[in-house]
Amino acid sequence: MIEETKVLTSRIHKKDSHTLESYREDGGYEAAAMALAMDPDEVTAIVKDSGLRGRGGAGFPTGLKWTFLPKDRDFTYLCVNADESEPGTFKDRVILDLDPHLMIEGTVISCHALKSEHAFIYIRGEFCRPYRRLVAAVQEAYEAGILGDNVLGTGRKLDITIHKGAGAYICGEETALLNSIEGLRGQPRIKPPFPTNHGLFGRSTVINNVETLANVPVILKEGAEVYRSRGTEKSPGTRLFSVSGHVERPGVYELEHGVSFKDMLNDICGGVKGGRALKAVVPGGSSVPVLTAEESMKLQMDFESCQECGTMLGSAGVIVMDETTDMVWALDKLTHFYAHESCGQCTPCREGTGWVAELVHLINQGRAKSADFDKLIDLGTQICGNTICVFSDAVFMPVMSYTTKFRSEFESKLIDSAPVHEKVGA
Amino acid sequence: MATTEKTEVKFSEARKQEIERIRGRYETPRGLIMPLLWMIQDDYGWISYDAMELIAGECETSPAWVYSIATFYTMFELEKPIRYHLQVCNTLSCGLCGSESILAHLEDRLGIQAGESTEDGRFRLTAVECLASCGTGPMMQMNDEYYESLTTEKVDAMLEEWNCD
Amino acid sequence: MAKITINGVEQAVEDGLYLIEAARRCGVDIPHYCYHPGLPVEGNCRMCSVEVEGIPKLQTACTTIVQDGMVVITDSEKVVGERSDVMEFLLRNHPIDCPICDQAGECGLQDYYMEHGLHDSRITVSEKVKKKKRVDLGPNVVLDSERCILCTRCVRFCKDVVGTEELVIKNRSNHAEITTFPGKGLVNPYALNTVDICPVGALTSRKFRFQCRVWYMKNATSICPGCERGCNIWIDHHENKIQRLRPRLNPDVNNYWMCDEGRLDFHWINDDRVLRAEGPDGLMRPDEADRAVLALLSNPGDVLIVASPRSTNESLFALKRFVEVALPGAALTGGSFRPTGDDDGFLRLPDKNPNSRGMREIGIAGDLENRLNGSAGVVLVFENDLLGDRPDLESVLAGKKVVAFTSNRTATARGADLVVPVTTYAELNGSFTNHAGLRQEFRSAIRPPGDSRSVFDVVKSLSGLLGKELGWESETALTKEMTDVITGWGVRVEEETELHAG
Ligand SMILES: Cc1cc2nc3c(=O)[nH]c(=O)nc-3n(C[C@H](O)[C@H](O)[C@H](O)COP(=O)(O)O)c2cc1C
Ligand code: SF4
Ligand code: SF4
Ligand code: SF4
Ligand code: FES
Ligand code: FES
Repeated sequence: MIEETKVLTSRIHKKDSHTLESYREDGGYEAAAMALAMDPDEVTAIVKDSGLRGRGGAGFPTGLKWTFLPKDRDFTYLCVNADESEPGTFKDRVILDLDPHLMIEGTVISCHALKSEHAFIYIRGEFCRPYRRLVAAVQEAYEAGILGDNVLGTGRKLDITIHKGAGAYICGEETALLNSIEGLRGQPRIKPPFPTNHGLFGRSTVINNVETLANVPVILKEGAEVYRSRGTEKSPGTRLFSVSGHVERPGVYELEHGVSFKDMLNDICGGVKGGRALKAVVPGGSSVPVLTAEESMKLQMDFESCQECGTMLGSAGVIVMDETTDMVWALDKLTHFYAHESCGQCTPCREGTGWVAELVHLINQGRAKSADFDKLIDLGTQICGNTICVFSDAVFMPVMSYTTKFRSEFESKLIDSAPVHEKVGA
Repeated sequence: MATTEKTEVKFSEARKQEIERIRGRYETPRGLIMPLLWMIQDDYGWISYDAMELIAGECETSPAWVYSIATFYTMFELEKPIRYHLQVCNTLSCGLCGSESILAHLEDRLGIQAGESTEDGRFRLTAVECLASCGTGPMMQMNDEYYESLTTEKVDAMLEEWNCD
Repeated sequence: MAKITINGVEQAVEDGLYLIEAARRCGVDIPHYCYHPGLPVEGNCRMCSVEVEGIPKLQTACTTIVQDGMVVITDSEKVVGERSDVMEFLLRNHPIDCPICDQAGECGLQDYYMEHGLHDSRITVSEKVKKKKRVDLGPNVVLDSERCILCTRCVRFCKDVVGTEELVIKNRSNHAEITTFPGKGLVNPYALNTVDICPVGALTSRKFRFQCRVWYMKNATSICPGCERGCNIWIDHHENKIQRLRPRLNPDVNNYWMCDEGRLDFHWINDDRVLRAEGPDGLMRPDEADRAVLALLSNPGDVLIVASPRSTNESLFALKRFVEVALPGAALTGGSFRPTGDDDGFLRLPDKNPNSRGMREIGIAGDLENRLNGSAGVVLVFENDLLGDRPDLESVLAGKKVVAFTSNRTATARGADLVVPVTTYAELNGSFTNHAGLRQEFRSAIRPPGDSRSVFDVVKSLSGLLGKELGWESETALTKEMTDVITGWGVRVEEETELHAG
């Protein structure tokens, strides 16, 4: 029987956990005080040694990213990505809502390491209570001298500006996020140049996810070595898993990287809902390839194992689907989402996602022919690889994996399919 | 602005101070567009064309540019506001937990289809994409608040309350 | 310089160029929609994707800067396949109404459609996304949203070239659409350039809509006579009528652009022309007209010759020589009462004459007003609508004999004793010298209507009658002498790059 390892979430069940007072009772901002006494490069080195990897989706080593900043930069921004919009992912919301100071402390420390005097927090527009709490927490931090012109009495400067999104999944993509702050359309930028060289308002910029930054105070407090003792060699530390769909106890759970999916499902989440059989699992947010029940039983929840399994850990949004699930219907839901969320600038993505959604919908409604299904598969590859951002891959991966792994379900819905397949699902 | 009979849109004194406070945070005037769109929406419930012109003036850009930004996002209300805007998440996780039946139930009870408003202009029903509350699906957002782990009974109770208001 | 290899051929190109531009200079055209050399790059259409050795993904040639040693393939199966994918996407929601589209013949979509287009009739044909079909964007430009491929060239033009930000994209995903602010039009004075740069038939000129199929038209290089900027233009004509004017690339003058006023100001060349000389006794043949003029020149001291900064350098130079050689004693003056405009910081300049600087440099004095008020009893007005620009001059001219050498039935022509038709700039080889001192040559586009003659021919004939020689066998000889004597005019600028660079 496994249990949660509550490192980042150790406080969230406390009363008023979102306040500065409560945060300070638990030793809040001590790590920041410690870090600010150190040389910035030393702080970066510790984060690098910890092996911390980005929690926003790509899993890029955080310390390494920080070292990409050019030495001769004139001004540096840190942008905190709190746009959490990947379907199946809802863990940043928990931090923002229940322990915003943890993330703010992570921001204070990181800004010191990056020599940044201004951080933006880009928060998803729909997050209302988390927004109010974040605003209040930043206010508290200013009043307590944690932010402002004399950060924790060190004479250093740091401002945090909260920028509220307004309903656009694509603004979670880091360069779209920058454009959105700049008052441009929230469309991803062509890379290169990369944000570390040419980011917000043309300045050197680092973008990190909320959860990534929430790890930073922990790392500073307990040291890289202790931090590394949790998780796996290449995916150190704990992870906030958002579990949704057909499980008995959905929710956000903090577990060590490398935990087996099976244990997580059964021990933590109470198993598949109603004791039904498992059919499919999306382990890392809606954009990663789906796994069959069989594949998922061998899965460990860390970056490498997911990759070996032909999928990705992504944002650790785990969507569980039981035997009653109609996989065509499921893909219909997802492709509808992507068609709605394409920023629309690249031809293949703008036109292709709409087309894909339409074909999947036709199939789901039983109005499509086998040529339509073939076209759908073609479209998957046509959209991918020739676009400004990887949103197109995020469409491609579900389409290809659902249609390959659950092909018969699709075929059985085609008008001109040979009636050899049983109709599966609801 | 003067030619229409609509209420005049303007920033209050308090808002003006707030704007001056944040202006320095954005290196270009355009950066203020989203914060100002939010202020207008918070103060007036929606964003009229007049308001866009006002914002354009503050941000040293054209009204067209503000319009482009306002229409890029889904949360900016460009039509007259609605008393109760029910936004039911209909993405995968909520779908797995029965969001479609919640949506159907609401359509039934309100007598409108998703995407429409009731005739009295009090309710609008929208099917929206994932609101990052997938662990407590089905769920919806009513104006600013999340309502989670919905059942048809819960929905009926809410409608009862809102209808009396 | 950077050495790059395109399709197996090694070439040296300038550093810092975008690959698409470098390739073009090496003679390799990479299909593209959103790229335009006069606009900032955006890389959104994905049409220009090519293979760059060492990079697994295709790269967009319009956003990739050349690097020494770069090996590029623009015609592999992968590249061509990608292109037809993009085409397929673009055409999915496109109405394909070429037969009624003004852009037909000049359409980037139609061209590539023929080359790469494909259609699979087995696929369930769904509703195309319906968008607005005919939106008047302003006085001059019409938008068909269904034809738009969202390349944002027009948006970038308004934002980055003119700075008005009038055109934008509203919405996102495949609901994205080009629009102005609701209730406002596309009213900047350069709006019609968006029609030129729109790679498909989404933006069309209200004036040009359905008037003439582009493949019938011929074109000639010319210079806009609308102001002293001297934008380089193409005159597109058909059956000896001008159909439209378009900007012609000149990085030193107007880049790819021109103003709408200049562009639309050509109807006077087609219409309302003076075809025959006309005196008190009715119509005259050219030789009759010349003799009638001659009869007025018996006392050169009583003659005032009025030149115009709308005339070509060649006409002005000939006129000056005419006075010096054939009519010594007559006064020569020049100038214009055309109302001035503003310098808008982009192209349009206050002086609405194309050749004020040329006139000055040729040495024609600008003391027009004084001279008119002088005692001369005979006034020969060359291409100058004195009365149209200044109706109050009627009283000044009242007691004088006025000969109007004019292309059109102007107010001055109506008040003249004798009217002699002359050509417009569109019917001449000639040059204007712009505000910056650049002498820019142009070619005649159409044949002179009726008895219209060039000023050179007129004064040559008059000198002959007076028994004098101007000293040039031909206009070429005139030009040679003129460019020899006037400093800085020896350099000929004649840029013939096609507008849509590829
Ligand atoms: C389409 C798309 C959507 C994304 N959405 C988010 C998001 O909502 N939150 C997030 O933190 N990262 C998101 N990302 C990843 C970010 O681009 C970026 O990699 C991340 O914020 C970096 O932070 P990290 O290194 O701390 O993970 C998204 C990426 C893509 C391509
Ligand atoms: S791939 Fe899609 S989301 Fe990404 S930039 Fe292109 S159109 Fe926008
Ligand atoms: S109207 Fe023409 S130029 Fe403008 S975006 Fe559409 S296709 Fe491009
Ligand atoms: S700016 Fe002047 S020269 Fe250029 S097109 Fe306009 S009127 Fe003609
Ligand atoms: S799927 Fe409904 S909140 Fe995420
Ligand atoms: S021309 Fe390069 S992407 Fe459009």
